[in-house]
Amino acid sequence: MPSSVDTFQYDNRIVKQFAIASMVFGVVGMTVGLLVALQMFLPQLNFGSPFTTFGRIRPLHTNAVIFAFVGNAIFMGVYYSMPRLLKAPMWSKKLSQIHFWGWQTIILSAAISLPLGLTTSKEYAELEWPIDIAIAVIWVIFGINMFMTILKRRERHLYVAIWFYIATVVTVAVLHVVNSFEIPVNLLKSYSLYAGVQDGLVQWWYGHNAVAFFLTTPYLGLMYYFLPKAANRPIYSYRLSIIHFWALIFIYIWAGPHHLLYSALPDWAQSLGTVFSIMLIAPSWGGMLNGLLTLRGAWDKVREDPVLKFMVVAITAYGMATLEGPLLSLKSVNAITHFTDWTIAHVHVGALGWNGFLTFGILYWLIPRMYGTKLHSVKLANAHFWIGTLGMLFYVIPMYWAGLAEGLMWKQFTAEGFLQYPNFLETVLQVVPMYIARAIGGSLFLTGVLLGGYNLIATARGGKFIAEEEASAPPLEAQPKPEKGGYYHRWIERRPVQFLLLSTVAILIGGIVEMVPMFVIKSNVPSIANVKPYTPLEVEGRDIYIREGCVSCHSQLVRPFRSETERYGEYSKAGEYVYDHPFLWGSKRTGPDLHRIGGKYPDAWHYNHMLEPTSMSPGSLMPPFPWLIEDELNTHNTAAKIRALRKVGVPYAKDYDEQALEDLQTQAAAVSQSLADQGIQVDSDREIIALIAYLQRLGTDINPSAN
Amino acid sequence: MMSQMLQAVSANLGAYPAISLILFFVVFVGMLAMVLRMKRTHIEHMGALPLDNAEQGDVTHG
Repeated sequence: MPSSVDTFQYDNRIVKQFAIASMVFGVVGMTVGLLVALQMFLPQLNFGSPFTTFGRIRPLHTNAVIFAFVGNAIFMGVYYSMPRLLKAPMWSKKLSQIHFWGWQTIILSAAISLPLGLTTSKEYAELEWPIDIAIAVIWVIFGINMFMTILKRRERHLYVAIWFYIATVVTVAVLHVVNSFEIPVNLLKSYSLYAGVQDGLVQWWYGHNAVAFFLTTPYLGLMYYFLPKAANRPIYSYRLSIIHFWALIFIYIWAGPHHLLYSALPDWAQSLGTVFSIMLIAPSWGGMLNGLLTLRGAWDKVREDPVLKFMVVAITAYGMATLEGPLLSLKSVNAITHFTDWTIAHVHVGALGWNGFLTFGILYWLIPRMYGTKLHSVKLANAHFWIGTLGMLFYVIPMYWAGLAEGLMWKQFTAEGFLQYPNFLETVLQVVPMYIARAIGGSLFLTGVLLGGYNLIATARGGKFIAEEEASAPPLEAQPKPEKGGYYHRWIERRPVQFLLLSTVAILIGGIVEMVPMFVIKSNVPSIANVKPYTPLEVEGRDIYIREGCVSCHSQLVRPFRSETERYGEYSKAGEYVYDHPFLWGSKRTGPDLHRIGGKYPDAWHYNHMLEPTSMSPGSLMPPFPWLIEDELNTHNTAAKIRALRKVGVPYAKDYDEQALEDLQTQAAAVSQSLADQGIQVDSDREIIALIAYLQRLGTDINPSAN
Repeated sequence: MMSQMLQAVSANLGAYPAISLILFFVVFVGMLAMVLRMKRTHIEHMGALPLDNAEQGDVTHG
């Protein structure tokens, strides 16, 4: 036995800072969410300004909720639980502070850059390259601080929560770096290194695993720490938690392609995605049951303690979302649900239920403890619980209904074999009552959060903040006791470096097996001779499409169903996207698919439609984009854009960048003339000209007669 | 550019499915064997880790 006992202090200040940031950005992110929910049936709430229009605000909502609300809550929980599990304070308070302020600066720069239209358009990875680099730096600082704390620990064995934290740090770093490879045009604009199908595969490998390793694994770590704490009993089965961990991180990474079923992605990759998604049910439900069974014999506590109520609903929501996910990965189910509001319901079961409720449960447990007092009002916390639960139901049930209605209406044929609802708008207007119900559900949930915020502030005011918590533990012996039996998991549990390497290998396998063949084997993306690079004007138009977030509501992917080829035209081929940096397939159709929009309407239709959508489609919910007509097209970067695209592999001739501007002006003059012929006078140097050129080009390469 | 980089590390692409299946099998069987052989005393020690810390007085919510 060691002769001395070390005394040390846990830093509660950093925990408090992250807790406050999480609550503040939670309220902000959900308020923006409510705004976009209202915009879906009240287009006037786009306020006619580019900065408040749906396409730019929607990524603000998703980024705020994922990286600001949930992100700060992760750090709050990690900075509280990890030192206590390791019996060692965080290695460096300075790094903790750099992490905190760095992360908030990143959030702030996202809040500024996204409404300005500075976006890569890749979902949950919208931020432009300088912010990407900042994220990587801050993440590494977090990782160093975490790992050094682990090395300085006083508890030899790493508890399962720590494994989940380690897997999170490693995998998020890998995902973020690989998905963010891009060639800068200037400080505010870049093009993805990957194109089309490959970009899609990388993006959804990232997107899916951002859900897995940002929204799930760190929260599972928090569950494995805070649930036993709150219930005051150990986790139901520690054995199960080990299986849960290894199976989850190994399988999760393969499932990304289930976001691209029936797309131009090769079949083998789609099938891999489906198979691994089904396999994911086992570890996910193992984890859920492990959580719920921890409360066996203690369910009477759940009746009284709001902390446990929040946690039980959170874990149940985890179970529901992780059963639903695999079911949505079955091709036959996906055929109906993909691109519909079903997806929105699915993600909100996860975000509101799993992440939201677990965060609130932890906060209600943590804040009284850090302030050495009791919760200000249990009644109010219960009210928050019930309003939140009802809000969640009011949110997701209408969205499930809407999703099913959309999926079925898009596919409905008449007895004569024609589409029953050939006008897409008809299917949108049908679900407007559901959008209204969803906004009510969202408001209820937000009301609950505000009550919670008040309750936590009142709790803090009623107590005194304990900035440093004293603890003591014997130091680690230099030489571990000789092991009896020497079982492998005991071996790995006490070797963080080997553990880190092993979990990295586990998460790399899936990505490598799926991605390398996609990039290397030519036959995975059959080339089409007719498909040519975009003209400079079309490149500029495409960048406006990206800037305005059109991809939030419009897909560019006609799936090989008769219901889609009837509605849109020829289904989309992998070879059509080879110059698409980034890909713009989208994940939701609030409006129709646009891959075959080229040549479908005259230029004047697009002009009028962008100016006032309802003039062309009465009842349309699309926001107007009047600034596209007023604003001059910025051509200062056109040459730089051509150079950047050349670097990522688009075969423009050498020195074409010098010629680009002239070609752009010639084509713009032609579009302007065509508009003039149709009775619309607009200068050839306006943004609308470039956007029309791009839209009229879309999908026409394989059908030249369309143009 | 990307494909050139990757070509270098993937000379034998045909072996990928077999390698991944074997790895998969080994990882899962190994993990199960490992978990089943863990000692009860050790499991109890690990499970109790979050509960080890003395809390700041009685702070139940009520």
